[in-house]
Amino acid sequence: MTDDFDDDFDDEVDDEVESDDTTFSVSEVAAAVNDVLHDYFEAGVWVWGEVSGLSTRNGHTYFTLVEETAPGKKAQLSVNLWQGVMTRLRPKLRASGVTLENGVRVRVFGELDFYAPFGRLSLVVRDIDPSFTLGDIALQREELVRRLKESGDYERNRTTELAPVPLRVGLVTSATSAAYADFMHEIEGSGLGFRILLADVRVQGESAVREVAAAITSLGRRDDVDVVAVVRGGGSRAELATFDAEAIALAIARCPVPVLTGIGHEIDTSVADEVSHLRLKTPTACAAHLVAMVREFVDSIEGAWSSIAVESTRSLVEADGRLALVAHRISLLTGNAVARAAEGLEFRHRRLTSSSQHTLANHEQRIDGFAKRIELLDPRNVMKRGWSITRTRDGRVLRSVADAEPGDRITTQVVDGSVVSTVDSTVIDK
Amino acid sequence: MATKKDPRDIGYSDALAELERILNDLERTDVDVDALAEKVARASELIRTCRDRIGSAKLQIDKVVTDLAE
Repeated sequence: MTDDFDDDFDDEVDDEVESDDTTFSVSEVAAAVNDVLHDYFEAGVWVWGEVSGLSTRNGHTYFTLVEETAPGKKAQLSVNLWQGVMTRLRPKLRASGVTLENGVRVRVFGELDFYAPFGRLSLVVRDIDPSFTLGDIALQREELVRRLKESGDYERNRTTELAPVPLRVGLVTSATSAAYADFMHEIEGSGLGFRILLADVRVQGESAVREVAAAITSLGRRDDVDVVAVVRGGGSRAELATFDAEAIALAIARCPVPVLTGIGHEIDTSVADEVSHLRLKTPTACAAHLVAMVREFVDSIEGAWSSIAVESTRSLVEADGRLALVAHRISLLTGNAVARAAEGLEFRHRRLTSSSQHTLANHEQRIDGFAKRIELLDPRNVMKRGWSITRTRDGRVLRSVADAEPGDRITTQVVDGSVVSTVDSTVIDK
Repeated sequence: MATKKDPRDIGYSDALAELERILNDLERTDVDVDALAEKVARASELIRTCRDRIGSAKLQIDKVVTDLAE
């Protein structure tokens, strides 16, 4: 339609541009503008800007390319992406992982066209350069990571301590997503007593960044959450770019409880992953990690119990053995002691017998000695040998000639009796 | 020699001590003849008493030792 319009007025416009007085009709101006644009840009032009106001109508895609020229000031250009072109470009976009959405910066190629019925200049897109978008995303990411490192937020969440038994999980994801189903499948399959507190958020689209960041922050403030898990299934690289957003990165970094991420698939790493306490590759891996932690704890507790049981049994057996040994020694020693005591007793018994007999014999000997000595002293024995004792009438022993006078009656005692006689005379020995 | 106990009431060691004393007295040369017979008689009693004691001790010891052995 536009082409026909151009052709119709082509010559006329060229002729009359040179004249100062020529007055154009609106359609003539429009045709002239288009001619100039085509002449100037020839085959087309590459333009870059940020996608804004994206919409689709009747299969066609419309958006505005915006450039911020100065703070608060911008330049913008309407863009039309016809359905046919979009069909051709879609495989290329998919292969590179770029999605056209608001906020994404793109470099597109097309022809400028002033559409007279609306009086509006638009870029009619024929091609798109995904590597520009990817590079821009990467650049923005790098810039964000640099800032996070500078502020200390990059490592902050990793300095939080993950509870050894993280059973109370704050889960940030979309309740209708496959990621949620995968995560819950793993958790429920474990049979462990997890308690999942779900923050149901949009993980793509315009509100995703705000919702995800708010959910992380709010879960982090609770005191009944051990760990926050942020999960999302694999998507295009541009879709996953939500998780490169500064707001989410900061929410994770500054979350007082550890944040685990399971975002996208193996090859994708977002800034959210980088600042998280631990980055798992998928929602399933994220859940599996928590399950493994709890299971390891349970196993270690059970292991400890069984060690205690084994150790106790061993101690008991050992104590029992020691006791038996002691008992055996006691019985042995007791036996010996009894035997020794019996021997000692026997010895004393013999000593008792022999010493008492010995003592008695000693005494007998001594008494016999006394008896012999008495016998020797007994006057009767002296008398047996012829000695006698003579006494005066008054019974005194006659010891001297002076004790007797002639006519005195004296009594002489001999061994077997007495002799009574009268003194005739006394003679003194010279 | 203050009071002479009945030898049956006297202890063995006392009896021995008395015997010893009597012998010492008797073996002195100046012992009085009158005391002599009396002392000898006492000594003989003491000797008999001691022998009796020894004899009964023997019997008792034999009995005890025999009981122990059984």
